[in-house]
Amino acid sequence: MSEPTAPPVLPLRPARRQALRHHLLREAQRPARRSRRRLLVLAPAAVLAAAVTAGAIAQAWAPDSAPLVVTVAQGDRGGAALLLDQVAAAAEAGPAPSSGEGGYVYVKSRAAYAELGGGPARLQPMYTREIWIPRYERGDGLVRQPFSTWPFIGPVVSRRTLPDMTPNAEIVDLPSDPDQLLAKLYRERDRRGMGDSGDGAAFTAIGDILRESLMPPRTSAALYRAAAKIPGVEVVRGVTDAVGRPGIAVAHTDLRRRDEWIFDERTLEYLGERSYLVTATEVGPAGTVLGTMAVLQRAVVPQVGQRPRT
Amino acid sequence: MTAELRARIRDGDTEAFGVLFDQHADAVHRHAVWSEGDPALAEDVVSLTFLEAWRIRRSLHPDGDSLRPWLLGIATNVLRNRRRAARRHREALRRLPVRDTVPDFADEVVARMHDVDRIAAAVAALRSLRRSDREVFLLCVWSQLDYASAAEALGVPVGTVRSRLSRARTRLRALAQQELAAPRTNPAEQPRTVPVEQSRMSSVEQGEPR
Repeated sequence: MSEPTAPPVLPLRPARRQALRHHLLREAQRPARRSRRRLLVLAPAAVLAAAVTAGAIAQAWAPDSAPLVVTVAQGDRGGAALLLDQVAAAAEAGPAPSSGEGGYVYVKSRAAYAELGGGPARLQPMYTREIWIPRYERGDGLVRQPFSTWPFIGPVVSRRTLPDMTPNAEIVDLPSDPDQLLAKLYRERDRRGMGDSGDGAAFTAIGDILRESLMPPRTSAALYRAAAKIPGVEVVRGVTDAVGRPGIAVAHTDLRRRDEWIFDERTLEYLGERSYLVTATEVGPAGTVLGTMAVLQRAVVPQVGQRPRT
Repeated sequence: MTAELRARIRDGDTEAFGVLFDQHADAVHRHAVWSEGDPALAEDVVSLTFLEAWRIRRSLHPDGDSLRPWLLGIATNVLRNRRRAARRHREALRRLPVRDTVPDFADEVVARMHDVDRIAAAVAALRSLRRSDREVFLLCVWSQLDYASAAEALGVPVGTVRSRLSRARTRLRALAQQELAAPRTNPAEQPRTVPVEQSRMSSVEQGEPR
C-alpha cells in the first residue's frame, strides 16, 4: 500500500450535531453587525496581511493619511542585504529597551487598513491604537482603539482586555544567530506566518515580531540579518509611512502584494509598515494600499492601561 | 435543485442554510478531523466553517454543482488560520452551547478513543507533506473531490492541483518504502499497546460508518 487510506471518523453525535445546527441558524438570524468592527477586531494580529471583510459603506479618508493608491516603485534586490546590515548595526548601537522598570510593554501606533470583499478595496479611516503587552509573564494585556468612527463625532474608543497573552519576553526570545533564527521561523511557518510561500511567511513572521514588541538590540539585529537571507527581499526607496514620515523600505512581494517595513532614512530606525498591490487585481489597480501603519512610541510602563510619562 | 439552493443561500435564506448544514456537516467534520488529527478540535472547525460560509454567502457562485467544494474550501481556510477565524466569530463562538460532558454510553467513549489513536496514526504520515500538498491530498483522495472541485475549493488552477497531488503521492510512496526498508526498532516509536477494552470493541469498529 503506497499511501495512507482515509481513517474512518465517527460522525458527530446526533444531539451535538443538532446543537451545532441550532446555534448556527440562530447566529445566521442575528442582524449583521457593522463590519468595521469586525475589521478592527481583526487588525491586531492579522494586520497587514489580513483584511477580508464583507462590504460596508465607504468612509472618508482621514487627512493625515497616505494616499489610497501609491506609486509602485522598482525594487532593488541587490541593495537589500546591505541596507538590512546597516539597519541591524543601527539597532545594535541603539539603547537597550530596559530604560524603565515595569511589567508591561506599551506600543502606540497609527494605522489604516483597506476593507476587502465584494468590490474594490477601500482604505478605512486612520486610527490610533495602543496596546499593553505583559512583559515577562503570560497574562492579560489590553488594547485601546476605536470601536467605530462616526461622522462629526469621530472615533468611539474602546478598551478591550486581551486574555492570556504571550509575554514580550517570549516573543523576543529568539536565537541571536540569523541562520538559526530563520530556520526557526521556517519551521514554525504554519503557526506564525501567512502567505503561500515559505519565504513570504518568514517575512510576515519577522514583520509581526517587529510591529508590536520591545526588543533587545541584539535580537533586533538578528531579525534584520535573518531577513536579509530571505530570498526575494528588496529595497524600495522614497516611501512614506502612515503619518507621512519619509523613509526607505525593505520589501517582499508575495501573491501580488508587496509588504514593506519602513525605516528612517537617516537613523535607520523602524518607522512602520505598508502593504499594497503590485499588479492590478479585482480589488484595485497596482499600488492600491491594503494597509499602512506607523509606530509612534514604544515604552515600558508599570501597570496595564498606564501610559508612559513622556 | 442546487441552483435554487445556491440562490436561496445567497439571498440569506436561513432555512436553505439549514439544508446545507444537513447535507454537508459530516463531510466538513470528517475533513476537519483528518486535517487536525484530533476529533476534539474538529467541532469548532465545523461551526467556524459554516459561520464563515454564512458571512461570505454573497460570494457564492450562482451556478455550479455540489456546494461541498465551496464548503471544504472554506474549511481549509479556517484550518489554515484557525485563530483568525475564531477571532472573527468570537461572539458567536461564545454563544456555542458547551459540549455535553456526560457521554451517552461508556462503550462509545472507548470507540471514540480508539478512533483518535487510529486517526492520529494515519494522519502522522501526512504531516511530512507541505501544507499546500497535504490540503490537496486530503481534498482529492480522502474527501474524494475531483480535480476541478479541489481547484475550486482552493482557488488554484487545476494544473496546480494535479502537480501538488502528484508531489504528495510521490512523497508518501517514498515514505512507505522507507518504512518497509527499515522497520522501527525504537520502542518509543512502537504503536501503543491496545487496552483490553479496545480489543473488545474491534468487532464494532469494522462496521463503523465512514
